Amino acid sequence: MEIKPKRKLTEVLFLAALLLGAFVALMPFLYMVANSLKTYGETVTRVSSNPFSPRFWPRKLQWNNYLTIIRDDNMGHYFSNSLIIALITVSGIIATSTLAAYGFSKMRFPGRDRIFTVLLVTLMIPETVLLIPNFLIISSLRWVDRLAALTVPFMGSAFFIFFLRQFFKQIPDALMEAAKIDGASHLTILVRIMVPLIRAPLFTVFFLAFNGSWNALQWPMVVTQSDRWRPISVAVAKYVTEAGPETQLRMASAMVALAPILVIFLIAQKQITEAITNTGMKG
Amino acid sequence: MKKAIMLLSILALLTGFLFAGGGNEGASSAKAYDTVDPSGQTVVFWHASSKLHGEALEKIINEFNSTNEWGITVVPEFAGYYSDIYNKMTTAIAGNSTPDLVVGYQNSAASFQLSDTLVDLNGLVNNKAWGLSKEDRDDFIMDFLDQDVNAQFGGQRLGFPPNRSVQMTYYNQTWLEKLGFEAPPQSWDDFYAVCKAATESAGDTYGYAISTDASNIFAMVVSRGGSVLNKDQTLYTLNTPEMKDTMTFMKKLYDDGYGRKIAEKYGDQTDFGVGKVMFTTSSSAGIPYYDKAVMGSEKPFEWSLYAGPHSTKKPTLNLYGPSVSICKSTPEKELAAWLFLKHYTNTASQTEWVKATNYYPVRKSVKDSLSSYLVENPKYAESFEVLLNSDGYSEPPFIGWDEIRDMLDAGFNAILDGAAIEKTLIDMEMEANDIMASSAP
Repeated sequence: MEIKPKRKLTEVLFLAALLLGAFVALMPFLYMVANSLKTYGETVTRVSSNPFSPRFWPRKLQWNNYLTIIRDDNMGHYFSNSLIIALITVSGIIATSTLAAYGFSKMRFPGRDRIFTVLLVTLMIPETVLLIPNFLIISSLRWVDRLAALTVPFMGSAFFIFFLRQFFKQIPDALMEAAKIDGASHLTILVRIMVPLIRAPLFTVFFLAFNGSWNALQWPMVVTQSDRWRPISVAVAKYVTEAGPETQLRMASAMVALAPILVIFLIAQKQITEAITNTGMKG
Repeated sequence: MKKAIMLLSILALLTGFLFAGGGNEGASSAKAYDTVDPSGQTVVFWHASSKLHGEALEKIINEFNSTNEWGITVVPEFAGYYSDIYNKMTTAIAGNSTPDLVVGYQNSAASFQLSDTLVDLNGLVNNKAWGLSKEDRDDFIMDFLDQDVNAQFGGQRLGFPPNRSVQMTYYNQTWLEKLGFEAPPQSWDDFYAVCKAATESAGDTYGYAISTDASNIFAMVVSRGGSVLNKDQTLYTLNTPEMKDTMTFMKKLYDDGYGRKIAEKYGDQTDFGVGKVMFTTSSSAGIPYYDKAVMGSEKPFEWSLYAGPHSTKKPTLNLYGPSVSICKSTPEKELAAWLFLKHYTNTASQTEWVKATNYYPVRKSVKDSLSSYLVENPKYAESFEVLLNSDGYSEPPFIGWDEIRDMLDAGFNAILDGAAIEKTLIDMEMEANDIMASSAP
């Protein structure tokens, strides 16, 4: 079948718009890469907003910046802290959100919908308002400067419960009824039947929760008192002082901090896109 | 919105006060520490010094820990930048888990004192046994020390300074001389003339990188002999002739194309480094960064810095810097914290601190021990001379000043973009005094 010229032109224009959008989205990343390989002087005087200009890029690649942050600034320690914190938090979120979402969508108990509404209302509370009450709880539990303070408070999330509930609701109850007739308990139904059906949304939860945990800055600053459990976000913040920024080191550390997020997204992008398309949610 | 955030913040601090059970009982009068024994105390210090600054601070602390006769141990904890420390302190006050020493700006200290968290250091400074000797008092730059005496809290001394910085005007000396000027302009009219000449000398150059930051506004107002507070420091005065002159001058410079707003943070460093702008105003702590920017550019040039134009007899400077406050705990801990502060500000520690940070010391005697450093760092030496030959003024140390700073920044921007000067200043003055009234202790 021959494509009409008008349709062809529309497609070309659409593609051009997409390419332009992708280019704009890619600019900060390119800026980060270029500046992570410059000298301080170059980050200040060799600047251009056009990545096709030689001034956008360093004269000579300064790989030393990466060596400096890893060797002198102990970036490896912060990186592993972030990884441990994020993995524990995400495991907790997936466990609690899956169980709760299943309960809210497939089980019947008194006050179910009211409790769910209250849960949704908690989404409206700004994070800043919760800072002091949360800290008081952590402090009374003597968790300050401990791993638990950085992970446990974030293992429950109203947003992810709501998100997964939407998917559970799409699964026909007949599947559950059939399993029940075969003698399966709720936990068996959840683990053996439901979870395999919501793999894509679970990947999305994993990615979003990992991202949130990895990028958190305010809470880790408040509940840590030493470098023992401080995450990489705190290390990146160290490169700004009253006098000026160490832009090249800041960008190099941001590159290191970005790496896991990028890897996870590249691996799971298909599932993430699929889940977001199914819910109609935008990223 | 800003005001709402500030009120929320104050509310949080007051809530903290309630949760903390009214704060700890300290020993604030001068005599209260006479018989106190600080031996064996451990003191936790929340600071904002990272990288080289952090290493220098750690060195000073290690030296104190290994040499002090009372066996006091100071534990340094990097707590983020000043805004992070403010948040951390707000929650710590609520959780009754404040550190023993905390670094912060004077208006932050005032906010903490709303919950009666800090020790009035007058009791320690004036103590006969532990306080400052006559020699110390003669050696300290008293203008620096007095910045922490807070009129909002009846003259309580809420902090002690380990260093200070000033707002200075950086200029391209090579270019200035090429334009036929022997020295940087001392009056505002001459400043305009140089900016005009610099703008007209080449295609894409301009005279002054206009920072709309409140520190810059304050510096320009005091350079005209003005102030942002009335005499007894009870009201903000933002609609003064000096403030109007400042805004009118900058608006003209901007409209005529001889001054441009700084579009992004440190963007003026970029323009200065590539020789695009003649003057820019920034913290003296930025000297090494400016130096690296100029030396790293394709065409390095000679540059220097000075106090900036002024209509007062002597040049004026906006003096600022964080201080270290002692949180209320036990008299033993408070005294131990004070003894560390004395060590941190003695001549030897100050010398090390200055070398690592490029800040100005708080003792005059440090200049002698810095002789070789001054030779190796001529720009710092020049700036030190400027400091010694100028009158220093400091921004209000009051609760709510941060919000007023943001408002001044926005107001200055609006004026440059066409808002009526007088109306904007009247509105800002009213708003500032509302903030002052609502945040008074």
